[in-house]
Amino acid sequence: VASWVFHLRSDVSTVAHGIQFLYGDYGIEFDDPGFADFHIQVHRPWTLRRWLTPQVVFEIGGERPFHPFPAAQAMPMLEWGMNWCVSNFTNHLLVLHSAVLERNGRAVLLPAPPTHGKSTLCAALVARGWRLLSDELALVDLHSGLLHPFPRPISLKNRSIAVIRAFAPEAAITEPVLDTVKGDIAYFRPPAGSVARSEEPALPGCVVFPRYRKGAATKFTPLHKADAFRQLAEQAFNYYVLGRHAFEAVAGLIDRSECFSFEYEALDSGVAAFEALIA
Amino acid sequence: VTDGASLFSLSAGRFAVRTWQDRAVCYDAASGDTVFLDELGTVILDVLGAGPATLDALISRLGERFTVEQELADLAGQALARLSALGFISEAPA
Repeated sequence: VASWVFHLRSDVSTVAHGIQFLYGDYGIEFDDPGFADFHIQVHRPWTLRRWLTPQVVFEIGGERPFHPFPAAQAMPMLEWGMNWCVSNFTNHLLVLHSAVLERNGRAVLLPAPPTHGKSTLCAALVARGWRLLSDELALVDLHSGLLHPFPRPISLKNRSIAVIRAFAPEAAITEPVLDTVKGDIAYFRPPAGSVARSEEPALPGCVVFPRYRKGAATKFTPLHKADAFRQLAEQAFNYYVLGRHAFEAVAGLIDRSECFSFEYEALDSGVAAFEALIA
Repeated sequence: VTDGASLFSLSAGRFAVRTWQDRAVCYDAASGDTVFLDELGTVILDVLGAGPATLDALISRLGERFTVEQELADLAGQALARLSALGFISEAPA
């Protein structure tokens, strides 16, 4: 997956189907890859629950960082586990909680905490032809400042699932997995074009802090770069691990970028505003 | 900071500073903290970047950038105390 090799073992059929549907455009190898960055498993443990209330566990190197999930939630568990692997063990890059998209050679970061409408906006832009670098993790090169792609499925939650199905009926979206800790979740398959360019980094051009708000008019508001720095650093997983390198990386990213906050309700006008921004 | 005879100077080498317009963000290599400075703190860093200064001289130089009112001396004193506590500047007898 982009620059990372995941070696996955699983006895869960929904995982096999999910991998085939969501990662089919990647080169999936069914043999032991030899070297892998992460050796992970999503499997059903041999306990009494296996027959009563089936569960799944996520393992990396034999450790289980999460509590078991209901078996029906195996695919979200795998996706969250893959995010966890990269955000916890990647320290040669600055890792930010942010979507990243690219159009006309300029990458736009959408950093946001949960419930701000980041993934919905990201999916809408991808459905209108924007290149997906990531829905979840911005990976900033500490030396060049370039953004490394990590195009994986876009996680749609609750009402966003129906919103994106209506906005982009042609989009390849899984059936929802119900009642996870984050609500109902469906996954939007990354476009083949984005996957094909998954080793091609992009130059940052804009940092936009999105916020969905019912009744909001679509509006960009310029942000002072010091405020943008503060908000962006707050979304970093490894700012304190990297110390001055992270400071310089965030500062460099802010230097290169126009910075805005963005409020929206309607996706059509939101996407149009982004098209105008990057034109 | 009330002693007009003190000389204030920047602590060299400890901080990385990025300034955008009227505000600065600083990284303290000693603590690993990131500090956000307001307009006055940013200007004080900038002024002291040209060389050490007493409080009176500093207020005089700040007066070239701000409209000097009585309150500015108090604010400058408070800003110097904060910057001093953060380790950005050091204070020595003039």
